[in-house]
Amino acid sequence: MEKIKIAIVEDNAEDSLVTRKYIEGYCLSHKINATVDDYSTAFAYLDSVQRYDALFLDIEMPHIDGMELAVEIRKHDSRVVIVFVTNMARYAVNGYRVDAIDYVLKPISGFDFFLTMDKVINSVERIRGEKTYVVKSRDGVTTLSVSDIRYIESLNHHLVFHTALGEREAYGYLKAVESELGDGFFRASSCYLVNLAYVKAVNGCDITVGDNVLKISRGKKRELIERLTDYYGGM
Amino acid sequence: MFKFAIVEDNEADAQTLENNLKESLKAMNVGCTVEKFGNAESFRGDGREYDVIFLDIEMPGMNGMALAEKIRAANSESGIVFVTNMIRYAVQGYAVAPIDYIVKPIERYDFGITMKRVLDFCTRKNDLDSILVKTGQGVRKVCCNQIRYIDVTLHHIIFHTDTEDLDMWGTLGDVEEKLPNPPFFRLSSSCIVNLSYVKNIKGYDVDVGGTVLRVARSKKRALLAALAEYYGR
Repeated sequence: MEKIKIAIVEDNAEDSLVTRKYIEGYCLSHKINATVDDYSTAFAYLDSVQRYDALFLDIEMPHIDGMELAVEIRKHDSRVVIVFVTNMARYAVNGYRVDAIDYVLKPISGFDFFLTMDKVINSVERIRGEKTYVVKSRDGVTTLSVSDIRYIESLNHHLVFHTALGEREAYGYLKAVESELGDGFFRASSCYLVNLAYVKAVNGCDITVGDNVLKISRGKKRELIERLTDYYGGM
Repeated sequence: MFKFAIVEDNEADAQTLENNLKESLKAMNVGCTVEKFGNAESFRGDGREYDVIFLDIEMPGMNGMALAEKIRAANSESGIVFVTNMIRYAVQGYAVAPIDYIVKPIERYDFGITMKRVLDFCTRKNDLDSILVKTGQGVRKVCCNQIRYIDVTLHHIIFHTDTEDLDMWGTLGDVEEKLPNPPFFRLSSSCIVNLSYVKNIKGYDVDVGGTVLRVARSKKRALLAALAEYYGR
């Protein structure tokens, strides 16, 4: 497997070192190639431009706490694996809402932590198997899961990606995106590229994509229905 | 249709949850069935027939956490939601990868978030089992487990789903070939039923929740065998 990038966000240097030792111990014994970076504050993490496969977050930290940081991360990134490492059990309920895969209580127990690492590695492998698309915009770079993209709209010389996480503006041309995304997407008109997985209905020249109704070019309708039939096995 | 189970010893809480569930799904125009169990022991099997299982934790006898572990040992497909007034199991809950963990009393706003997570989960889980139906008004994607039954009158094939009836031109034989079997079963020359909707069978009448269909004499034995196999899994 390609190198796994892991970050620890933890204000206590000693605790950070303990977590690192356990992660490195696991990776060594399982022959996994990994790098571990550490950040002592949420700000430091947010300022970094690095992308990680998995994050180990402390919760109680000055300024932005680990839970707030996770909420912030999830606004842009549904993929990165999040694990909390904390001595505060009482935030455990909140962790589910940011799709944390585990919640580790300090002091870390070696045996339990190995189970946590098994889960982390499995999730990273699964997520890496998913196709992604990198979107560049004024706000920076966002990596989207292709399966999260509902449709892409071309609007006033820029693109709008309508995704499960909300809308993302981006630079680029629909034609270029179309050739990169390829199968599974259909160019419904000069300004829409739709993900076939989200097409719920075709009614005249209206197509329902997720909760939105879009217009399709008249000349494209037959091809769309053929593509959908191939995709689902139609009647 | 999405299938839910509630395992909860407090009858009033179970009822509130059922009402909340049905209300939210109705607002989203999705059909559902809800089965309730008064304790963990009465919940048999690994629950894979349910899309999502809602579990109370503190119950007499086996508790909800132990039941969740038992379910996960054999079934990683169904979603689990803990609905409890015990915060202290929240850390332990991660072991069974639940969709959510709600603390009673259920607040409306909070439950809305849970329902969104539940619905996203169900949609993802069921998306692969969709088929395309070409109707007079256009093409529709229909989730197989939302189809109750399909019958035919004068070459019009009618898909009876939870929320609407879809009309298609064609032959039932072609449709049957493309549907997964199980849960679909050919009852007679003019009808295919989704076994998961069959409530009871009396003589040759098959009750699918409000509608009664007829099973052909020659098919009855096969129907009973198919049902037994479907639920015996």
